Amino acid sequence: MARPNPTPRALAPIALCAGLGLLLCAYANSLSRQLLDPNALILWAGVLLIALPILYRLTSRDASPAERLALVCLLGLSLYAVKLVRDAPIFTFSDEVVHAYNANQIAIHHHLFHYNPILPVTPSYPGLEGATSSLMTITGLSSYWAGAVIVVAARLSLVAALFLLYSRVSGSARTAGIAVAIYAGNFNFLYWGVQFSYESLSLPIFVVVLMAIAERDTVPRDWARDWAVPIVLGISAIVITHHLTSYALAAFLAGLALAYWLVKRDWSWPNPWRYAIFTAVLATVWLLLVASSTFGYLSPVLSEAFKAIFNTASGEAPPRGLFQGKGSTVPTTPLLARSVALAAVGLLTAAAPFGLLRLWRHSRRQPFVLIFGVAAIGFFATLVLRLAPAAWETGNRAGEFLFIGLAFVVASAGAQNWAPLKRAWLGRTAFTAALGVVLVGGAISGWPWDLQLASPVRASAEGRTISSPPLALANWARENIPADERFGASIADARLLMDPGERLAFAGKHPDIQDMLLELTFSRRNWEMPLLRENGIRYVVTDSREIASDSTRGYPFSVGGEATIPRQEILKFGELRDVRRIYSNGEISIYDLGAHL
Amino acid sequence: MRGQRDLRMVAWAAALCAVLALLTPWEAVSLIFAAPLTLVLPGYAIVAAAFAGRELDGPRRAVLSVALSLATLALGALVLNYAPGGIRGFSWAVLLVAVVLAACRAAAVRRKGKIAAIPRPRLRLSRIELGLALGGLAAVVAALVLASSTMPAGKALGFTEMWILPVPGSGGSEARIGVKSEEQATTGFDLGIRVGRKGGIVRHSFSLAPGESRVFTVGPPAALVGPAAPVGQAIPVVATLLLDADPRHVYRRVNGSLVVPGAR
Repeated sequence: MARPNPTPRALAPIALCAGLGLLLCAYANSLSRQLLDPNALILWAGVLLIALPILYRLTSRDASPAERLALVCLLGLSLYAVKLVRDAPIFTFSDEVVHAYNANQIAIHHHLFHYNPILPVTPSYPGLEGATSSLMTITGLSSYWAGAVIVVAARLSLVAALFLLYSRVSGSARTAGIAVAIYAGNFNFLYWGVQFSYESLSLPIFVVVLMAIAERDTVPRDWARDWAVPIVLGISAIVITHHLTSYALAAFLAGLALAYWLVKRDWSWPNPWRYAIFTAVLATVWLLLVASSTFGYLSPVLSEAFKAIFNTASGEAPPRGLFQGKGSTVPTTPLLARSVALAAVGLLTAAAPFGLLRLWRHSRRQPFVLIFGVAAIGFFATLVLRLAPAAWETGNRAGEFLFIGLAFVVASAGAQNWAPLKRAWLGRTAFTAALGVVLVGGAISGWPWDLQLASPVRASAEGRTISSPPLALANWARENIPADERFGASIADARLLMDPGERLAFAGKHPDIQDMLLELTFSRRNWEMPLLRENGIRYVVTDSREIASDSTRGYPFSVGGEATIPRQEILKFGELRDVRRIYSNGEISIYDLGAHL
Repeated sequence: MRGQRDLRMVAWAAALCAVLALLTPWEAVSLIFAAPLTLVLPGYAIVAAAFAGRELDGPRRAVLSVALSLATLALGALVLNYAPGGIRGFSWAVLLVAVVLAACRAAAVRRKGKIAAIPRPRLRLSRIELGLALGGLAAVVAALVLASSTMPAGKALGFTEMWILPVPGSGGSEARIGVKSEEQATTGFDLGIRVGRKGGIVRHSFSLAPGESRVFTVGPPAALVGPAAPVGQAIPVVATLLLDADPRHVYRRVNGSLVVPGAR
């Protein structure tokens, strides 16, 4: 008798499609890096080639739970690889270079908490960089590749833990698989959520903690202690990795404890209030003892957000236009792309009430279901924040957490069971298409349209490699300037000076390097030199490109016709006595102000 | 750990991976050993200790193994930060092996007897399925190679870097003037260096291919070296770069200074 083959037949062709889809994404990016202006549809065709076969299979009734788990893992990893083929092997996302600098400092100095002038709060949350340092120091890998391996493991944990969490709460592997597929449509899943940044590690552990709490609920009380170890380890790791995730976890667990009480009218086991308090206490202790700079980092962001909401609501300030970037040079998102993004939100909005209704009817005695329902409603509230200019980012960040609940609610709506004309395959096809719209629309909403494809920071010429002006500057600084010297530069240049330049660079408003660089002349009060002296900044980097002030777009080669800043803003440094222009690459110059320090 | 085959295997694997990852000089090969040591084994051992003797199915065990390994890495860096020697490859390896051994030991003590073997997923593929899966893998490799390859970008504006810095150890009496081409094609240059306000200009003509560089060293003129030299005086140095193709316009200019050295 032939042995049954446990390997699902569909997995191999689906894996082939995922590989080919990734190749198509890499091809679109390679065309873009060659400045051949490829049609962005090539990229989206690649993304859909990866996703649609997986999504279609997830909607089927005959796939086993193991196959569904394999499918969601394949989906999560393949979509991470789309980001990887965009910019390998150089960090080009603005937060990545900040964290890469921290990781390099740990590997060089063998200790945590080294100062970071661009984002001073980041060294106080060293979980990601500490984890990355293990691979860097054991193997000698660069922060890019070591970070990529850590983020791969984190992404795998995220999708698998989400699947197990949804499976446990819904009791259905099919619903769980579809819910994970919907979660992949959250605005940050494709790019922002997998950059080398602290939330890329903390969010997956957040989901694992939720999964562990859901699992603990299903075992006898004396067994439940076993789950305390993973939960406590997970909470501790989150607290030292990312501020917002630790606060979100405390809030989520407090909400969950309240939901348990509402359902059972009892604070005793399995109510997880102890974990909520543990998280809150640990996060507060860390905040007060180690990361007190978080106050200064988060309070302006949140207060500006509240102010913007109030101003927009009261009509004092105009609402922010959707799909609008900062500055006049940022190209607009095409109509088709906007339509897909709005259709994605429309589909989620249409499905959510059905999901909520169904869950209310059948599962409202489950605390997790209640908290997911509240999160789903909360997600739509964050969409309103997108209309207030300074609240956009707050809404975007909160959405990533609230989408965990929304995905479950939408998957529970039962649209996957729709069979028009009594043909199930027709319903599944339509549902798969809708999932594809949610996935692509979410990615369009979460990342600027002109940055979906890569721009060249390195290029080949006559068989050799040449670098873009800011990257050439960073490489030159690393090779020629001592490691303890400090730079003042525009935002993009400073970030590359930090990584791969491995030099300490100041930018922005704190200290006010930005105004010093962009004023036409030095001020009468002459605050500039004391500022430089106070911060030990010997080298000032001037950049004639207006885009050098943009932390997401300021890295690639120029192609001609870019906006430039007034020449006097640069020349003012050369007019100072005993100041030398020691470096020039045309657009970027370095002035040595050593004589004034 | 007698009778606990999985724990013995994990403990030995951790020790072996630690040694091989540290000793292997090639990063990619080292990663093959470091990945299980950092991303799987600590979590597996902790799960074994936490759930000693209880049923935990494969997917949950696998997810917790990876996630708790990541948590161990995040928290382990904090531990090493205050340990003698700090955060180094060797100390990481010692810490991770210690975590694995301690957790395996705790698991062995807590387990009341031999545990049932954990069922391993069997992967059986037909030839066609194997071909399809390998095709997918080949496409992934091709995508990563394509992504890591540097491509020509004809529309990108090339440029040239020029700099001036004191020669290390010269006390500022000598300077290096460097030129590096980031142009799209081999380019001819004319470099003029003037030392002192009234000094003559020394010229160098040369060509650089893209990515190539040249460095020139200059010292104080002979007239300023000798018994009557104004020791310690700063002499300005100006270096001007012209393109052979456009000699009427200054392409790059940097300036520095030399310090007149004392008598030797």
